[in-house]
Amino acid sequence: MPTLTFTSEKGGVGKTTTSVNVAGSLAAAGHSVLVVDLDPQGNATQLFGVERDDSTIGTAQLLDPAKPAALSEAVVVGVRDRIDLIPAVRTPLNSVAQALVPEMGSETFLREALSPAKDLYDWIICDTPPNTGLLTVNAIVASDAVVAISKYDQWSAEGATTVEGLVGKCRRIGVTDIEFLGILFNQVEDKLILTGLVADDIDSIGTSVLTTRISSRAKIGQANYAGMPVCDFAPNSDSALEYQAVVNEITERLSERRIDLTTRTTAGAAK
Amino acid sequence: MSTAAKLKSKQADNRARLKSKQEGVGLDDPQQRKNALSNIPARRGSASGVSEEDAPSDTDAQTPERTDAQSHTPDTADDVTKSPGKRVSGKRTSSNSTLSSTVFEVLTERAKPGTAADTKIIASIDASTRALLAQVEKDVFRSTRKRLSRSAVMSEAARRVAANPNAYQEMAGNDFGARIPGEVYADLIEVTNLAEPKLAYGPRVGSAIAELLNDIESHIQAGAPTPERTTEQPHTEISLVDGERVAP
Repeated sequence: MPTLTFTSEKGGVGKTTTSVNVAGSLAAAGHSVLVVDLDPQGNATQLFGVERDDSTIGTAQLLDPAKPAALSEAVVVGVRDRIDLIPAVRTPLNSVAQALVPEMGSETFLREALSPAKDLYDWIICDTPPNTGLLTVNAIVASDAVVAISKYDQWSAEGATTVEGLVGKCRRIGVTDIEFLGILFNQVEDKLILTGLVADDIDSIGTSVLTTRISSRAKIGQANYAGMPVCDFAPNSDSALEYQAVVNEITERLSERRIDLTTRTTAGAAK
Repeated sequence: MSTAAKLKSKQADNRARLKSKQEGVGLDDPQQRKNALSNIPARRGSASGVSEEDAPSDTDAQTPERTDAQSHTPDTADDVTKSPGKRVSGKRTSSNSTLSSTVFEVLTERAKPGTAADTKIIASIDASTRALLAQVEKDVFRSTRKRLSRSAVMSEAARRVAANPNAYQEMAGNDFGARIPGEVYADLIEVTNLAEPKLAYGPRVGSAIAELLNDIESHIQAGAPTPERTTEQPHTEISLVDGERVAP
């Protein structure tokens, strides 16, 4: 039951879109998915149609150092078929992020909170804010694997390579045993000269890059607007196929790294 | 129907669909997961206090009482064990008392480096303060080979600012470094933005760092053991470029 984080230090690269669409593709394949929205902007929360007001209990309350909420309070079940969500609301989540700073070991709070949920879901996916603060660190520490999201521009690529360094730091200090799967390039337009230049730059650094890339297509934005993953909005579209390919590649990379991919579905079938 | 109209219609349908799913209608029945989630208790919060196993040890009889107005909760003595050499764990404990204990634990050489506490967030401070801290740390480390948990210093400074932000002003120039003896920094590790991850609290944290280091100085001068300087090392210029140290 892997936990996966999509992240980048740079904003606007498509972390939320990727999280939502990977979750959608997994759900379409019959897996149960928990999406954890750790971004105070709450875009994933909004996309799934959950209200972002003061009455919403979600990630902020789950991570509250003084009085953490139970999972049953924080999880909104059934936002899509086989997808549940822990929503994010801006003000309380920003407050909690500050409250976590002086708390020793607070980078492990999300891992502690999600640990009982790993038996309930086939996949857990974390969407993070565009920085390397404690919320992002919590997501990384709670995860089995991390994918950095980038566009083909120099600042996005830099934000993605920062993620690799951060994962390495967590491993070195023994806080977590986590894999950096690589950079997933998003909003790709091959005809641009910049695409080739940035690709060469990343090659020269040697950072792992996923073979699958997500092209810039109108259907993705339209699906976001409609409030659903593109595999539901336009199941036969090229974008839906690309996200399915992302899922396949991530699964393969996790398998190569011997991360337990036993899902409740396959475990049940094996019996 | 135009594409825009179709999208709006689809958005509305989706929201209605969400509402009906919440009511248990549809192919996927979330009620089963809801029932399973309800069996999972909430995590323990920090308000539940410190266990003896997790608590840091008391420093020793030489530790003076803190007179800082922003001093921490007075339950430290009740919560800590008194076995010398007991290591500070990275587990969650009550925040304020344990942090101040951590600072003094390290000063008396009892904290364990490389724990989860040593990976905490460091605040961004202005460049002149950053350079000063880096220089002092480098000089002291070279002479004493002792370091203080970065996380303890930065976490405490950030906590002070968060608790009373108006009490701290942006640090001015190179003032505070010259006021504090080198011996104070015997265990001071890199309190600069070389650490990751970062969380921006702004230049007020520089003031809080200065206050904290003054507190540390007072503690040491009051009688806690200080490491001997083995060799007087010449000061060397260092500079920071994008948070990375570079040779002059």
